[in-house]
Amino acid sequence: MRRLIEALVTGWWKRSPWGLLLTLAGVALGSGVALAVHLASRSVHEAFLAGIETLAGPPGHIIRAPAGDLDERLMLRLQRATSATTPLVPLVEGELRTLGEDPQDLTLTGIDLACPLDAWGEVKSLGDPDDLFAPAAVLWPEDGRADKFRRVMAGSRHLNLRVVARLLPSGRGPVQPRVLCDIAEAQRLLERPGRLDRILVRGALPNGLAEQVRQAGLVLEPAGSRAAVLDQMARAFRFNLSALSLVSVLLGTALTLNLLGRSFGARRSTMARIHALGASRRAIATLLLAEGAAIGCVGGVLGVGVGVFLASSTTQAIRRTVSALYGRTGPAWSQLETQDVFLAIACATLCGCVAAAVPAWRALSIAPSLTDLEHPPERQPPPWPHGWTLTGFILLLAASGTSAIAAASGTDRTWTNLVALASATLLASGTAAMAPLALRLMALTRTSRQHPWLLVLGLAARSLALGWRRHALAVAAIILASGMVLGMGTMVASFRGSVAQWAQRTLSADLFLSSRQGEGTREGGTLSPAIEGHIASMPGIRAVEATYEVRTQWRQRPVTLAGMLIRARAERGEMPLLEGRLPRSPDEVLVTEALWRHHRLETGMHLDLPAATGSLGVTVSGVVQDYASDQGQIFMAHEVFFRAYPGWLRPRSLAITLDTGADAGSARRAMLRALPGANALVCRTPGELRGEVLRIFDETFALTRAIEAIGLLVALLGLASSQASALAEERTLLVQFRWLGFSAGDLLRYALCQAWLATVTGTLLGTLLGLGLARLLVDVLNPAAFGWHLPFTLQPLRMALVLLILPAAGILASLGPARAIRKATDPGVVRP
Amino acid sequence: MRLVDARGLVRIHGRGTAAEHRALDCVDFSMEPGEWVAIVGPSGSGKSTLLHLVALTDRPDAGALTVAGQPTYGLSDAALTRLRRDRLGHLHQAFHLLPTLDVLGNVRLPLDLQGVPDREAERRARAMLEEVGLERETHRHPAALSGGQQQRVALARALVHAPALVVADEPTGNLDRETGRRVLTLIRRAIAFAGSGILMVTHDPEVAAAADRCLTLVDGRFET
Ligand SMILES: Nc1ncnc2c1ncn2[C@@H]1O[C@H](COP(=O)(O)OP(=O)(O)OP(=O)(O)O)[C@@H](O)[C@H]1O
Ligand SMILES: [Mg+2]
Repeated sequence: MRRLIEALVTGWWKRSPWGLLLTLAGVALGSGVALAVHLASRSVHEAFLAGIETLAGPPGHIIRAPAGDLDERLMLRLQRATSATTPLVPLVEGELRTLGEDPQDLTLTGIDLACPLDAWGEVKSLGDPDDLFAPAAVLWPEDGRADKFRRVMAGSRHLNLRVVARLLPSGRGPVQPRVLCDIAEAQRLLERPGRLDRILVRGALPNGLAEQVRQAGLVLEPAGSRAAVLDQMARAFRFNLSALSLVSVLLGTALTLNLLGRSFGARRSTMARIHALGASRRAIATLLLAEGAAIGCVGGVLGVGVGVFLASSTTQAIRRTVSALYGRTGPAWSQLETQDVFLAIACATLCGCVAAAVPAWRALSIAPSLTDLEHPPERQPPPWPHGWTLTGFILLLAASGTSAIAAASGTDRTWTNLVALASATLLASGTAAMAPLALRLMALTRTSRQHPWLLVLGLAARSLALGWRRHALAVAAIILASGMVLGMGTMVASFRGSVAQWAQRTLSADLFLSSRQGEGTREGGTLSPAIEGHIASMPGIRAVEATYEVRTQWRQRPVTLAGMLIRARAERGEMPLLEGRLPRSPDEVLVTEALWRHHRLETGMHLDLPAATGSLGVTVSGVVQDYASDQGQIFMAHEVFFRAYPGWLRPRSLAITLDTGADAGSARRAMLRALPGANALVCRTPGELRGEVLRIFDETFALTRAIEAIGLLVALLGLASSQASALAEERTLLVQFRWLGFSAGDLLRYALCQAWLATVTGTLLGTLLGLGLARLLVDVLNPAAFGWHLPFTLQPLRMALVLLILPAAGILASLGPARAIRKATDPGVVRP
Repeated sequence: MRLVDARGLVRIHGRGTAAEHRALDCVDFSMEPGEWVAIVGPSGSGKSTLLHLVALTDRPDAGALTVAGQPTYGLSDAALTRLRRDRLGHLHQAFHLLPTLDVLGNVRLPLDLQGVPDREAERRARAMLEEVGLERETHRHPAALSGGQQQRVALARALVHAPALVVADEPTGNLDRETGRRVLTLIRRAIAFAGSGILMVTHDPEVAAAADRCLTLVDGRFET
């Protein structure tokens, strides 16, 4: 057996070490990317879970008013109506700013200090525990200063707080530094007697509570619902990642398949000889399988290294994103677990076995022969790849069928994702299966024989057509890689383009004012009713538009009802309509695209919306494009809104338009100086808001670039390897060329022409695949799964770049093998 | 027991196609153990085809063939492989050494395939290499040897496991007259050493004359 291994395997690889290295690199990159994606998406998941807990405390529920704050008597009523053991935690919040050199913004949270405080941090008491309930006693976040008293501003009032305990941040510490104190004391300090911001429900939801909450006119929702747009991006990100990892695993397998298939071709005569000398076919096939497994296994081990490297750099990117989103440290690098390592190596080994299965299967029927099979004569003309073409055709048909199913499958996300992924896989493999046909068609090309380059190009095209079996896999790999780069790129660009466009359109006022309180959370904060008038009376302000919001449940889904100046906003172009028209009569409303798709609404439809006054009957007059929420919103004029919610006078945000020519920066400074409680307000220019949105977007998608680059690298490795083995098989032909008067330079040119033609073919088909994939992602997956319509943004620049760069890279990749054959003059090669 | 016994062998190439060709047409022939039989004939007369049948690397379309006392009709590929491994040696015009193994590795391969213990295989391979005068080249690779040397390696490989029958297709065809003659002398000596019979195709009348018996094949039939 040892001699057999040497004759068939080790001896062979010793003769072509580059082939072995390329195969190992391909498997390592393929499995490494898959592992990295696995680790990274786990980190993402952990990061977002951590984010949820940060924003809303540990999992549970929140009871709040549809808008504004609530009366604490409602809380007592709820407590009485449900059992006495129901863990209801009332909460009131306000903003503080420290006085002194370096003012710091803090949130004062009033809670029941008798409840467990571990969700807020670790409490280090400085004295008697009873002091906690003394006047102005607070728990101050640990900041390295030992002061017993702190002077702060709350609104326009100065307070003197007494620090009775320290709050050490725990693992899931809050975003903003938080000062805790007893709820009654907080209400006194904030001058909000008897008011609550929300009620936390810890642990499981008690029976009947939901009903009680509804009857009290309040809203009950799971804690930690994140800002929807971020949620969306996280999902799109994970989807993108899994698709990319699938493609890189496919590419890695294709590369292994290609190399092992090629090496089988080259070793056929060795096998036939060994079989003639008495080695059984079974032994040969087993050896090939074992070889595939060994290559896969070693590649997998290397892949773990690649994966760990990639994942750790990915995690850093995610860390930055998370700190941008939540203002806290992102996920720690997700530890590599033993089972991940085993899984990665096992998958790579399996991939090697699969790649070796075909050669092994063919080895089972090899004929014993001592005659030379090294260069079986090519049949002239070469056969047409009927089987592959038919397979490709069927796969493409199936792809269009499944994409139609995905488009029609509505809003079941898991199902839509699965069907769309299946459709993408079918589309990719169908296009890849067309590679043999594309190569075979090259036999029909006619070039002039006058120019040496053209002559060589013609010969190279002919040899690609004759040897389509040899080159098809490399071309397929290039199709997959370039298709993936273009498809994903177009999808991300369409996504980014529409987010940017939407931000541009909907943010056309000069300044936006909102409350800092509860920023980033779904419940958000509201502004004081007086603020609107206060700002409107300031000099240099032309208009102030208030938006009021109520978040409630409708048809079992959360929905936001927003009262705004629809006409004014539409005149500024902030209401891009997908369908219908603007409201004309006082009972007409606009719905956002997500709501429209989720509930399959139509213009002209009559809706009964929940209202404080019972219900509000409205008619849908149009559908407006919107990326702020995937839950959906209903836009209505102020008068419609106040008809339904007469008491909700606290605006959610103000859009401020300045006099023409005014400078937004100085206007903002002046305004914040003049407003009471300015430290609780956030005022942003549209540029800042847009920049923030796009920065988060870009950071979220930065990783995909790295993975695209690896996909291309794997494809180029595949090209180089198949080129090397194809040229080795053509050695006899090349020597004959030399005898016929080709110079060494001609041979080099011949090899480069081959590589160029193969890459151009692959890239052209890949462009088609990319467009198909992008259409699938943009037109089918996004509307069906996310309720978003993205305008298809073609990327001519990216396409041109791929079409130029990939063939150039293909030429570079084949320089090695091409230079090696340049010296193919050994007459011994053509011994009979 | 006869070494080879062939009755009515027929081999048709490219059956069912336009290029169908009857390379062997009802060939009868037999060989005794230790006998040296030469086959001559014009090019394309079916000599190699017959040799492949006897070497068990091809199967007849009709007829009965017994090799080393074993009827081959209906034998599985595995059984044929064992028969080739244990009882036959192969020698070819183009040598067909394995490029991945060195000289010693090539020569001892048949013993390794038979499962002969390592030391024993090494000893016998070295003895055989000494017999063909290549004891100093054991660790060189075939590509680095001259044609005559390669054929001597192939000869050592064909005889190292003392096969009952050596099948040789123009073993001197690729060599110059002088080297050819030397290889021939070696073949004769080595066969005596191993006690094998030999079936050899040749174009060289001198070689044919040296054989125990010479058969002429024309258009797929033996001339009488
Ligand atoms: N695989 C094959 N397919 C089709 N025809 C074949 C095949 N092998 C041999 N032939 C034909 O069978 C006939 C006999 O071939 P064979 O190789 O036995 O001749 P040969 O006597 O060995 O000739 P040479 O002295 O030139 O080696 C020839 O006409 C050849 O064309
Ligand atoms: Mg012949």
